[in-house]
Amino acid sequence: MKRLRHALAAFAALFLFVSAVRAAPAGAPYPVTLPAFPAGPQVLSTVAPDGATQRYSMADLEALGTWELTTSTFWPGDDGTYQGVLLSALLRDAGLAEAAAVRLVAQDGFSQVIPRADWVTWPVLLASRRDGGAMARRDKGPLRIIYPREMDGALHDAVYRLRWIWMLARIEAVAE
Amino acid sequence: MSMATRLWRRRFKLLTGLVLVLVAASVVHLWTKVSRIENALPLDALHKERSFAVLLEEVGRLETELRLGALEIDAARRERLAFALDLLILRQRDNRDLYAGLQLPGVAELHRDLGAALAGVDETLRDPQPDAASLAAWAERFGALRERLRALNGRVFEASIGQAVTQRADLDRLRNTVSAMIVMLGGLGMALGVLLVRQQRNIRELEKRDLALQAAEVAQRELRERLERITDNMPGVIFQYREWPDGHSCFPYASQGLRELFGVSPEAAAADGGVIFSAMHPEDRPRVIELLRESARDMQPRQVEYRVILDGVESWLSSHGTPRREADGSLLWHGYTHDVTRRRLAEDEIKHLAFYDSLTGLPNRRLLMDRLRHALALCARTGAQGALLFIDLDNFKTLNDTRGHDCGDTLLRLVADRLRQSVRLDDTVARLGGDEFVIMLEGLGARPEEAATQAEQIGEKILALLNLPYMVDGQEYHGTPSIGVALFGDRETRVEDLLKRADLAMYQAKGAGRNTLRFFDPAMQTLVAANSALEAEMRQGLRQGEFILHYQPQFDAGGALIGMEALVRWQHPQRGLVPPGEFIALAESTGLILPLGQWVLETACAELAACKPVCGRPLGVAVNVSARQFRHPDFVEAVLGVIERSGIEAAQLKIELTESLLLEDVEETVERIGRLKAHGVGFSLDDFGTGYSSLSYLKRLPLDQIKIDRSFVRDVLSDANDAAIARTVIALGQTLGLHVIAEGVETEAQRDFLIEHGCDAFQGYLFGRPAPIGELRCLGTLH
Repeated sequence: MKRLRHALAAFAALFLFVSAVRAAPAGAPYPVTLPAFPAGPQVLSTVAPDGATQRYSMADLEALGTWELTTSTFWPGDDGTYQGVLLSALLRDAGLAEAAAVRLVAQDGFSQVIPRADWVTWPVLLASRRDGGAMARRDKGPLRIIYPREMDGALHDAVYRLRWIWMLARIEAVAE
Repeated sequence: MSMATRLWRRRFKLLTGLVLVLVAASVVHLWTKVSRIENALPLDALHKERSFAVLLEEVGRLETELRLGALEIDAARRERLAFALDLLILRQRDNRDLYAGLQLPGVAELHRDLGAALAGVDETLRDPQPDAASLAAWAERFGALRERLRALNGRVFEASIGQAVTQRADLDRLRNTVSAMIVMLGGLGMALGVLLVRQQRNIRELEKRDLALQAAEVAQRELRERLERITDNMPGVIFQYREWPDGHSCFPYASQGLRELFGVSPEAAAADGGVIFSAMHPEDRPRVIELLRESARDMQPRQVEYRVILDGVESWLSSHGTPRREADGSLLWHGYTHDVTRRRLAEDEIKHLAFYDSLTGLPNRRLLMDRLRHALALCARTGAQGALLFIDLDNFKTLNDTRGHDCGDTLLRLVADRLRQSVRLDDTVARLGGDEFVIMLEGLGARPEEAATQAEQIGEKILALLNLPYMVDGQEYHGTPSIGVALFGDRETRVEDLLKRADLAMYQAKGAGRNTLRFFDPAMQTLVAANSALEAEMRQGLRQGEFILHYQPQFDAGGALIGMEALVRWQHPQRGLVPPGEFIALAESTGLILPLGQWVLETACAELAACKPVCGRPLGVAVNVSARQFRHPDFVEAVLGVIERSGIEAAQLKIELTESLLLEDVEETVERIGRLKAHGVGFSLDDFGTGYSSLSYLKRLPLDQIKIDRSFVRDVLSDANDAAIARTVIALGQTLGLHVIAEGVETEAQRDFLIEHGCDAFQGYLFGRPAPIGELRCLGTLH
């Protein structure tokens, strides 16, 4: 059963990939190859529903496959091209792919719950770079969530503004 | 599909359209309102507020970290400082647009100062071993910024609250609007529903009514046809007659009977109502029109009967009409007309039966009483007298008993015929029953004596007539009547009493030996008896030459004898000389005046002719002629004959007429006078001024002389009025070219007065009393 689910997920990912490559809609991320991050501290931890914890360095993260997205944002001087991994890929890697929702917690303690529909519906990006370079903390780095805002008008809604988490530190499953 | 139904449907469509438009407008309105409120939702304000709160918190954290760092700085503290600074820088940058958007004073300055402070701290922290004093100074500076930020945050909060209140109010209004719209739409929907139901009901009802109407039409047509069949086959006419204020009229409806009764088609009458009136008898038309006018005045029904002559046949019609005022001001009569000819005939017959005696055809007692009542009323007005003659046949019962009722009836019819012939047409001959007849005479003389004489004469005539033999069933029969007379001329008398008086008088006649006449009033009886005696004596006197003529001389102003007036006297063998006043009236009423007048005329002319040679010059003689004598058809010839026989000149004869003569038939009077004047006979008007003197008659009559009456002459010196009359008569005579003579002149003073005023001639005791011609002869020689 679990294998079938994995297969389905893989098929879905493949499908998404193929469809993204084939006909990347306007404002959609596309895969990109980046020079590897030097080895560094672990900057992100994940907590699976079963309590299993994983820790990722920037390099670990980018090893999950990098994508690039050019988009506008809600904030002044923030529009630009971002690179990073797909949230869905990370969650799958962290064993959170089937979670109904996840809580994303920032370094300053700010947190938001993101429902599963978000990462299933849109290719939400966990950005690790801007314009190919690492992001400073005062520039909302080092990790931040980028929604493909240009893909879908619905994402202009103020509700999604709060879900653009920066200084991301931890992702945990939300108990149902 | 009736008109009303169509109207309903169109209205329904209109209403539906209206509801749709209203719904669409409501939706658009709601949509705009919602999006406007949505745009103004306080999310922005919340963001601002939260951003400021976060900024304030982070400024506070940096301030705290700076103060802690100023006390003791190590790697961990440094990292915490850097994190706080990074967060603040990040926040400062994100809030850039927010600062610009806030319409609050001091925001730009704060933004600038905060940016500068952050740059300064960042610079300070580049140093691996930052100076504790500068960190403390930065902490102080951030403390001041925090205070400013807190104040700003308060204002932002207030603004946000205000905005929230406004938006809340907007939402309330929206809710109200929505509620109102829901209610309104609900109401409209309900109205629509109700309308639909009502419309359906109306349509059903209209259809039902339509059906009923059609049925009613059929029923009405049947009714009309039935009515026409009835009215057209009815004897008579059912009609509507309409009249407009301008006098135009027509018969909007008349049944076919109109052709039969008036000879006019209903169509012709519908065009012009005048044709019906033209068909009416000209004598009845004004009465019908007058009744119509009355009916129009009081708006009451009228019934009228009139004659119509159609194809030479006269028929009586009766019309009844009830008026009604129409909206256009015209009057509409509904009515009917039918032929009442047979009824009229029957009525006439009934009336005849009721008022006439079937055996003789004479008026019966009832009609007599009725006429008597009228006659009494008339007498009271005109002053003329009347008389009732009650006639009973003597021994009639014996005839009835011996020869049968048929013979009696035959006799009664014969008597009735004779009675009818014996009176004027205006007089009434009635049969009371049995052998009793009554004759009512009207318009007799004004004085009872006169009336009594006239009644007596007629009574005598009837006596004579009924004494003539009758032929009854081939056998001669001789009968006599008894007659009672009662005079009337007084309204106070009751008709029953009157009849009773005549009846009583008749019994007196029976008591007096039958075949005679008696008056109810003893005085009248006496008078009549005396008159009868006198009349008989006069007749005898005339035959035996008891009448003689006296002459009164007439003189002119110069004292010359110009003529004389002949005056009749009766030399009665027992009573001596009777003055004319006692017998002329009787002679006039009995007709004796005719032979008497003739005798006077002949005698006067003869005596004048004998006198002529004695006097030496021709004298004139004036002879009085009564009205009755003058009116006699042979008068002119008689006068001319007398003149011729006597041998006198026509100019010597002067005929004196009285004024009363002028009242009747002036034309004939003028003609007769004219004929005699053509032969030279003169005319004098006697007693001028005492009667109905009319100047217009005086002017027309070809007279020669007028005579001032002795009554004026007598007091001409003592009475101013008489003097004035005498003067006026003289002046009148002079003006008209007439000879004026005064009679009754007794004194010289009277004569002088009259001479003074121009009187031409005189007669009277002053000049000589009337005397036989023999004594008069001397006069001529004396003067």
